[in-house]
Amino acid sequence: MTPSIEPLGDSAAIVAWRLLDDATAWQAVQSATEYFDRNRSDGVLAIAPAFKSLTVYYDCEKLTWSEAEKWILDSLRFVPITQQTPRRQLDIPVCYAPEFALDLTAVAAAHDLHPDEVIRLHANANYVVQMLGFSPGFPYLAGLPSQLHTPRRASPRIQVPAGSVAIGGGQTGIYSCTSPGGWHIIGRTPVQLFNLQRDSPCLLQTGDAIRFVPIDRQQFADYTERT
Amino acid sequence: MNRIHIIRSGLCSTVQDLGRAKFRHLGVPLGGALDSGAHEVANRLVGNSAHAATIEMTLTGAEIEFIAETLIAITGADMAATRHDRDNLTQPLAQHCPLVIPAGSRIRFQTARRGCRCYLAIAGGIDVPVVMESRSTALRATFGGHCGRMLVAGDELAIGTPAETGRQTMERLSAKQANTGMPIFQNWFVRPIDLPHPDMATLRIVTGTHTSWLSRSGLARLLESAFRISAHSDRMGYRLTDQQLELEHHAELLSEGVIPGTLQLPPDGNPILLMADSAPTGGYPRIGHVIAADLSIAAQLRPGQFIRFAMVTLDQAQVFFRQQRRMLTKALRMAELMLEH
Repeated sequence: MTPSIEPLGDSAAIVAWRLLDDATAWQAVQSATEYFDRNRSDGVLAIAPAFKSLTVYYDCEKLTWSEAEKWILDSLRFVPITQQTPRRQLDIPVCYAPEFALDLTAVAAAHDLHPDEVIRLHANANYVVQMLGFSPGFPYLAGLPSQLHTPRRASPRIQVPAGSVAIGGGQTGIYSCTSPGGWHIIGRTPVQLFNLQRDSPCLLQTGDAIRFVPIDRQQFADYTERT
Repeated sequence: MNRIHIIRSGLCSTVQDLGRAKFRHLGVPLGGALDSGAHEVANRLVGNSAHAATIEMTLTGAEIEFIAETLIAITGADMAATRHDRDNLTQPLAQHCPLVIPAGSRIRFQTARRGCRCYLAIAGGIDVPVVMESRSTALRATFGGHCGRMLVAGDELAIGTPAETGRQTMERLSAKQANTGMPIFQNWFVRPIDLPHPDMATLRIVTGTHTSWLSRSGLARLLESAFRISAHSDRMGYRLTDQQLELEHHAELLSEGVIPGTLQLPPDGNPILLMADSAPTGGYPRIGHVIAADLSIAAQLRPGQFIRFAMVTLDQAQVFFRQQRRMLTKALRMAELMLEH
């Protein structure tokens, strides 16, 4: 399917597969991002994937819109159709204790479930990192069981601690930095998602497969102490 | 190695360069000087590349002490900078030209008389560690710049080694002012933009993906009314008030890319103008984008002031940007020639 190509202001373009189903669109985005990024021409600054679209940033001193559009159209013809399998499988430890899970009871109540059942459902699903966004290294994860889909909080929290595992609509994610946030917090991981001391500061990459492994307070404390 | 001391920090002073263009796929904001034109001119006037780090000051400026004789340039908002020497002699400083500041001087930046963001470039650049290919301060993620935060009183910043042109300019100016010991001004200046009028400024925009979602009255209001820049405005974005825009079409959107200049419309109907520190993706309708040529003007707007939007075509927007770059290149070349004489 041909994606739509739209200007994003005068120095970027959005290439979107909005009419495709989530999984197919996501595959198209991944393949195109990889190909575009490897074959950047002069004036094309960067490529960034989102759920069903990618953004091409270009230098509008060097390229006009028609030149940028032509580069995108030409590149699209060569994007290989590859069936990608998740690159890595990672286990993320999560402590669902009440002092971290500020909204666990609210989420449980919204679905008429016991909090333990929310934890069981959340920790037994398989997730895939669909994109990184919002803050450095924040993963948007697909795969949240439909029983846990919960509309965002009416008013966002001013400060959500880094490591908070949260539910927003049909997605789950992990706050990589302390920041404001409107998702429901149901636990916390002691793992640092964004750490500049590492060679690659973001722990997760788009395409990674994730499982949440419940840990207790003691394990959380031990992990934090070790790192 | 040369250093400077921060005596007083000002409202929001940060180390900035041209940002992190290549890390948006990781959720990292572009960042960098909001008025990149002023930042670039300040750098070039002291012989630095446009990528060197400067200090960006917001609304109320800093007071800075210079340990050694130093070549600087001040651009952007007019913060009525003055130099104070050890005998407490006060000298007003010119903007938009290179200045040699004698050792032991302090420069005081006041509250901006016009504009919002003032840039201080120093020959050699502010030498903070490079993080993800940039020295910019990422305030929300607390990394980059000086300790990932705004400057505070007591901070000490290292200065890099000046480039050959910077060193020559400094030698020449230093020799000329040797007998007075006071910085001499040039009879020319390089100013990339005129600062916006403090009461009413106009920003040119192009359409966004969801401009057609606006109701007829919403579109008319976008193009004909004055918006006020709210006090809740920072390097991430400006909240615009006084006019609520309504959509005719509604749909839940998936997060897609946004850029500095994007006008987002959240459900409350008050547009948000995204600036350089915004997240690289957003899920609100994009009802327009301030053109690249006007982002410097946007950076100089003050909370509380009014703005209007004027629609141009994408082709026009890109022509304006190229014209602006050409004029800047020409002016900087003239400045180089003047400095050689």
